[in-house]
Amino acid sequence: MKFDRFDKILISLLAIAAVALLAYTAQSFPAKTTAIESRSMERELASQARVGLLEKLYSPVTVALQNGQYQEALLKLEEVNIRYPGEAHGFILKGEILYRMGVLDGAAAGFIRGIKLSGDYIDKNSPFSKRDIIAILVEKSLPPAQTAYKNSHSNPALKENLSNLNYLKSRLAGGCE
Amino acid sequence: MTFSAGRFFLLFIILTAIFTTLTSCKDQNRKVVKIGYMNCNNEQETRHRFVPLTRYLSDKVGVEFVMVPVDTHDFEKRFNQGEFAFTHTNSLIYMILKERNNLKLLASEKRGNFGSKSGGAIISRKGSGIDRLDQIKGKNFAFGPMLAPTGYLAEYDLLLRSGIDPEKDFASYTIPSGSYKHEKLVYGVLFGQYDVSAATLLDLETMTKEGKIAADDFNILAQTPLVPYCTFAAASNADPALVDKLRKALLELKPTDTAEVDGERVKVLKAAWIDGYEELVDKDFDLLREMAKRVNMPPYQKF
Repeated sequence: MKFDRFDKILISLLAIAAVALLAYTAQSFPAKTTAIESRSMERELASQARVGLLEKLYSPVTVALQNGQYQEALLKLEEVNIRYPGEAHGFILKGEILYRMGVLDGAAAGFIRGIKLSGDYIDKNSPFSKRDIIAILVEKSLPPAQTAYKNSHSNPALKENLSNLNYLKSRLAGGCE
Repeated sequence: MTFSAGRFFLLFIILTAIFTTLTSCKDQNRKVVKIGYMNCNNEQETRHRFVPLTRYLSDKVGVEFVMVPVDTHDFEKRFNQGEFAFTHTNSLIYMILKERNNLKLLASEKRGNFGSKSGGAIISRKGSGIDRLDQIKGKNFAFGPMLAPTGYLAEYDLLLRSGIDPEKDFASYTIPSGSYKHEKLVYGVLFGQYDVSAATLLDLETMTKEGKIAADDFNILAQTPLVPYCTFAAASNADPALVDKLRKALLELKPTDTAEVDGERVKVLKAAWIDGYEELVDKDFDLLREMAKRVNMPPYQKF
């Protein structure tokens, strides 16, 4: 096969186009990967920022809680709640304080309000997970709550407590809203 | 027979008069039942809080409940005089009337962090140098009103159990005068009138929530066990059907329930500063009974 000058020009142009295409593709692949990575990064940053912010906001409460000063912890929580009412973390902390004070029905009610706002608190992989303490609460409270309700069907408070504990049990088992 | 416009008008007037008379007769025929409400701070506040609830209960139960505000110290006397058949009191007054008159428990109020229960605390001002309970001997102390379960009884009992005799171990102790005694205790410590005081947990919680005090203003030196809070009860001879209806109405109360007061629709629970009602059993008051025995208070007082 014999190539004339025109064929050589065409082959050269084709080769240049192929190289250019390769170069462009090679350039654009890493760029796309970077965009995905940056979205993951953004999510991670937001998550860490939330962790950091909540830890900072609620640190007076958690310090008092860790020191066993439960009533002080509740009062400090009231103060944070003035600025951030309806925040899931506040409900969860209230649940934990009441649990440690032995007010188990109040603890269950607090945990439920928090979990309904954010499933992170029941997720074992979350930095905020309270799964262990909730599991102990359910294990400890459910049998007496069932007996109490059996003995007094007309008492709405007992019914509500039993329903709260059953809800927590179902969330621990993987059920959702 | 002719029907003129004048005759139609006359007929209309007569029918309206009959209807109005029947309606008002129906209202007047509603049985009147009095509920004695213990004044927490003062009569005005009691009325403000409980008129909507009383109106709601009247509508719900179908009798005309009348509210009777009663001073704490007069409560037993006026109950014994038959002034009212239903009571709304703190848990200590309930316990006294249960012991002496076999009062029947109806429903207990839920309010604050601990629902139908509350507790007391011993507080000092932060920075006062009083950080522990064993440092309060020789100090000036203040209690809440003498018939307050979590402003006096529970703290007095806590002190005795901690080896501190209020009659011997304080430089002095007092009870603030006038109304709003509970808040006066907290402010008294904050502004240095007392070194240490009793304080109800509910008041600390409410005052913090309202921004009146900061959590960091105080040291909580000790806390009492939780005991039942305010409660509705009925005289032992009260109509059992009415007792059941009233209990049911209280237990079914929701935050959205309203009553009409002076032409205005008011949320009943919000007006009364209550979260709801819960059915307790008399056994729930046993802890309080033990406290009253240790402190030598009514109904177990021995001279």
